[in-house]
Amino acid sequence: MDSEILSKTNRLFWLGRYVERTLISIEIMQDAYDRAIDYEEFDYTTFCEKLEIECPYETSDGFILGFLFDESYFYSVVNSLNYAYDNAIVLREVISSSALSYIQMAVNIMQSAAAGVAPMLELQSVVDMLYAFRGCCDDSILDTHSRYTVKCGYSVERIDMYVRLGFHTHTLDREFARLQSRLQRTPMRRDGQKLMVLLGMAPNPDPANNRDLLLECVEGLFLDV
Amino acid sequence: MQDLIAHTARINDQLARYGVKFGIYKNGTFNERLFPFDAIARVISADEWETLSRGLAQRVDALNAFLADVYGPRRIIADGVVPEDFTISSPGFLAPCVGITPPKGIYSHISGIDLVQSRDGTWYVLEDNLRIPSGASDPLISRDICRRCSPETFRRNNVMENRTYGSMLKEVMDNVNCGGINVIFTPGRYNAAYFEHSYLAEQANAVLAEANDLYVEDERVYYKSFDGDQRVGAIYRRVSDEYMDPTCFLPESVIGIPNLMTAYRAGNVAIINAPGNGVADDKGIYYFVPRMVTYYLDQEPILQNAPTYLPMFEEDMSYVMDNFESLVIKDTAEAGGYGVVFAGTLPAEAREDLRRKVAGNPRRWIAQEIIDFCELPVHLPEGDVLRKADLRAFVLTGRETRVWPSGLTRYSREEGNAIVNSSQGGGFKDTWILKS
Repeated sequence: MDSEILSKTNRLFWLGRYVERTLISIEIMQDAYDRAIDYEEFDYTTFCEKLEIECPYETSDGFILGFLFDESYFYSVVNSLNYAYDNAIVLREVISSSALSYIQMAVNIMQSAAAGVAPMLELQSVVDMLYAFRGCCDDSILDTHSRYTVKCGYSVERIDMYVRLGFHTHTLDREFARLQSRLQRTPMRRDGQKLMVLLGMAPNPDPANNRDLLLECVEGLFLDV
Repeated sequence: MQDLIAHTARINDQLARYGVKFGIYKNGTFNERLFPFDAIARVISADEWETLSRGLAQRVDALNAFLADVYGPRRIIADGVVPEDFTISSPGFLAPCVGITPPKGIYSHISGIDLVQSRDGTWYVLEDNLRIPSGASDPLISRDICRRCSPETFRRNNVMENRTYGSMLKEVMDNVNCGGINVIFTPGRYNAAYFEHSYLAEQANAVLAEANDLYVEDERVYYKSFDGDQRVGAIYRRVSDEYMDPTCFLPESVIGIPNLMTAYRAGNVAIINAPGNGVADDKGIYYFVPRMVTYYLDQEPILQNAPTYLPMFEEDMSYVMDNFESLVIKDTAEAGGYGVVFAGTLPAEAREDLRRKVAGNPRRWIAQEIIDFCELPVHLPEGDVLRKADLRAFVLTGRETRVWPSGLTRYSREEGNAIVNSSQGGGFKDTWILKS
């Protein structure tokens, strides 16, 4: 496909990825924050190494808050959500005003949570809005290609994050099955070889030993985005 | 209406939820602002609306006839009704449009006519906007939310439905469609009215497209889609004339569609509104619109202009100079509430400076009597206050010319201020048209 044709496909795919990245990141940070209460500091250095992102913070608490709310930190959760919004805002007539409104509300809550008295608690409302967005998309995106392109974004991001962080690895086989079903219904072209490798590894992905191969295949699976 | 007014804050929260914002560039930076909504609606009775809507349709029909004439035989100039200075010498006149007849002969499909009501109840037209008037989406979405907040208010009041705008817009597009899909062509999300572009695309079941999504081949316009390229039959463009086609207008435009004008000239695509309409909504040509009504339609104008003077006419110049302090001076080169000066409020030196400018370049300026237009109540937490307000009515020309039974009522932010534009900090209200 001509790269210009893909502007909307690209946006749908990345909308899915950024929504999923926000959800997983919040889940991890809520867990880390909870553990930090009992003096078990979050190993943010390793976390950043696994994600291959830079880390400008020097304490565990500083990292958690910065990673969640610091708009000057490129990799922060608030920015992931802003990137989701940047994609959603130009897709209103595809995803519907109703679906877009959940992203807008998530952005509004995220901004107020940063300045709020109980930011971790308020993050739950961001999660609620993003799940509402996903449900609404299922109902309001009538075009199958568009709907499944967003879903492929969810799947790719989830597998990518789980593999990188060794998080929820016991569910990876289920995620592969989901991705396999979803990619049949998107117009995005696939790299057949990488797909075969992924499907071959699906029953036992073993991310501890196959990390690089899994990431290469899942990141490079779709040729057009 | 009290029950509805009590929900003002909630309604504004809902509008924020749906991203009802406008963009503004300040010091080179793009910012988005919420457009404050006041729940006290402007109410127009059925009788008043009947006259108003007839006058608006009449005015737009005359303006469409003027556009067909000025890009065609130019009878109105030959007959001395409008001077050449205000037509083919106007910056809004586009030479590449001469001789092109748009589909169905319609130039202004969506016209935004700005009116004010004086304290004695008379409505005056302040401005005609025939290029890309914006603002219909705000009362459209706010009505939906208001009805949800206070259904009882709408049960008790006999208000005409305004949520038909999307279908009216679709009809307008379908009427001139030359074969293919309907597209709303936006410069992109950093445009001041992007919310409106995307919302209207959804409401009118049209495709929202940017320049990169569209191309011209064999004098036809195509949209690049998942399922192959689709022919485009009508484009509701929200891009200014000069940026629309770099091969015809500004070559440096990166938000235009190369060769769009070729497809338009060949009659293969409708452009809504037609390029070149700026010649009919110039602040100077406004003076002549009542004469156009008489000239083209052989009717008496139903709606009045605000009393206006053109300094380029000797008699008017003399009046303007003698009464400078009591007039509002408008720079015809500006828009969006900018370049509007109440001469009496200026310090003496600035006023004399402006007077010299008007005398030195009379074509650039118009002068108007200050209309003491009525104020409307605005609800604030500390109590209701009065603010100046105007009305932008939307007139849609398809198979016939129809006025949308609603409109954007804008009010000023500060007491006594008559500038109501959103870019100047004002807010908006819904406009209720009562059923008879």
